[in-house]
Amino acid sequence: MLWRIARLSLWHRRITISLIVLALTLAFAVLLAVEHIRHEVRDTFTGTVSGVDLIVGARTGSSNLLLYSLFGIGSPTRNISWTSVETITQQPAVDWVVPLSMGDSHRGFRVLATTDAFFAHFHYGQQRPLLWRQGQGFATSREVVVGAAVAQQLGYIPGDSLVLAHGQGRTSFSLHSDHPFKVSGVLAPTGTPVDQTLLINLDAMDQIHGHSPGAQPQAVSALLVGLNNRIQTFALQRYINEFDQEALLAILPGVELSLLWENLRWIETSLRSIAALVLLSSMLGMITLLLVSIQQRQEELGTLRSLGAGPWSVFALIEIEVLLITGSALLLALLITQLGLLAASQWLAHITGIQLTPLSIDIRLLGWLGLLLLISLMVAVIPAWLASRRSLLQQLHSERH
Amino acid sequence: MLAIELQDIVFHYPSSPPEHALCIPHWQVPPGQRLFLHGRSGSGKTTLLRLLTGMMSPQQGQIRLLGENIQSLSPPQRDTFRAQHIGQISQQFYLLPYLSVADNIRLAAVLAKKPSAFLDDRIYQLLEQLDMPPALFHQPAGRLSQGQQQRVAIARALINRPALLFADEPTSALDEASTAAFIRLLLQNLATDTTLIMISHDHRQASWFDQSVALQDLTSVRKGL
Repeated sequence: MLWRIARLSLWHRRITISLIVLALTLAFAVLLAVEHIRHEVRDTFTGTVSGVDLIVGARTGSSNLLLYSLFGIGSPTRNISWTSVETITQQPAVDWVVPLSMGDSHRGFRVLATTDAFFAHFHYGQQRPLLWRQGQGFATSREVVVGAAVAQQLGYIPGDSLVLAHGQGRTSFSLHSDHPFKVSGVLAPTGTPVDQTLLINLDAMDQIHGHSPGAQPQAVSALLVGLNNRIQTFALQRYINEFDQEALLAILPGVELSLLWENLRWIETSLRSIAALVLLSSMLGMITLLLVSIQQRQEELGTLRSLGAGPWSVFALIEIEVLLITGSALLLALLITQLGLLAASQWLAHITGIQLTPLSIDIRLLGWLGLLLLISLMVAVIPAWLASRRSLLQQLHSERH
Repeated sequence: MLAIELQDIVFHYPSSPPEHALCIPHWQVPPGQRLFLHGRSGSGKTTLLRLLTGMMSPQQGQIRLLGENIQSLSPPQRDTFRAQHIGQISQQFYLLPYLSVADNIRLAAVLAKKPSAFLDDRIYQLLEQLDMPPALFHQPAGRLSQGQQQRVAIARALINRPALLFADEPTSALDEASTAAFIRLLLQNLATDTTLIMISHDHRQASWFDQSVALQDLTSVRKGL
């Protein structure tokens, strides 16, 4: 009967109640969206590369090496000589090496020169390999592979022609017009910077910069290294960091990605703080509304008491009402967040390459829903207690004669 | 067993000085009696009813209802006692406007923890006895006329077949004809063993009842509560 009373009482006050449901819905939606996006971004970020044991580059800051080799942000202080590349490749612990060379771009997207081994060994997320949406890898120095975001944004399909530009600016006056490329394949989306990358082979990179076809590369920007046995990682890292032929740096990508993410934690904290403030203000709004409505409902609550409802029944009634308000707000918030994520995922994938997945009902989400419900019920304890304690006396005093 | 027995009652509101206390040295009401209690406004009639319903407790004295010393009951026990043995009708009727007519009546039965079997039948039977059109049984109480709300208030007060029924100025807003109709309806539907105490400042209604008592005759000191 209390549930029925709570439901009908809320419906009776539906205009004011709908306002607080709306406020809570927005607060919950912001909180759920921030939390979901935070997880997605972190997973995408830390899953930028997997299966790569070491990244090697010219000696610089480890973050700088990580940023320019994986994200195309910044540039190497200098290149690694091909002699060093060969020396590292010949180490017994090394299983495979993928050289990376960069510096050119195409309409704002970076160009990465590499070898076929890139498509075989580059993994992301939980050891997910690169997949083809259309076509295949480059077979000649005139072919280019484009990432999913590049293809989507510029409308490329296999067979299309394009020209690369020198440097990494969005607008370049130095085009390699004498060496046009044909798109040989389009990669499936990965949610990593690969989506926003054009890949050519090392020979093509050398050729557009004036070297003879088939000549051995002189230097590369970085190396992705895979080992026969991960136990040897630290030994090889030390060997490379103490390399006596040139100053090199080897980093563990997983560790560096985590450290970099830690450095970006303030963004996370800021987002969560904003969400918490929105939630706090909505909770204060709900308390205010409850206190005002309890004041206005003295007669109603007093009637219940005079009919024999104990203080705990009144307390339970207010808590049930809060449960219904919060439950409705949570359901609406889930719906809004889901729709918002669907709308935002297209845009975000287009701009950043981050693939937002829809909310899925898992332990983490259920935990959040439970926590929000619990916070609401805890917040309502004070007004509910006041209502249970004061309702009868207030009514009595209001009509004392 | 007496329906009501008051002994050496002294009560004053915390905000009022003790010399303005309501003092009733002794009062007994036998079961099944229809009693009319009158007194001028502010004389303490409603205060007395609140003492009788256990909503307030006197500073001194003893109140026994149906042989039970209600001051010895804990607050939850007092709530249960009130729900199970006392019916109340007030001037404002105090119906929950968003509940249907039937639900308003059902609420009193549920709070009194009465068996739910045949409850609906009893509610509808009671409403029919009170001349409520069946079409209104499931209408929200807030949409009823004042006369219809009166009937629902009577039905709610009677649904638990209370041993005690207290009516606090239920006719104060009614004209003479409506007042007569209300009292007739109430008395017609009252069980023979139910003790009724009807409070009013209008002593012209006294003729409807077995006994008429002026509050000032019960009190030893009365200085306007």
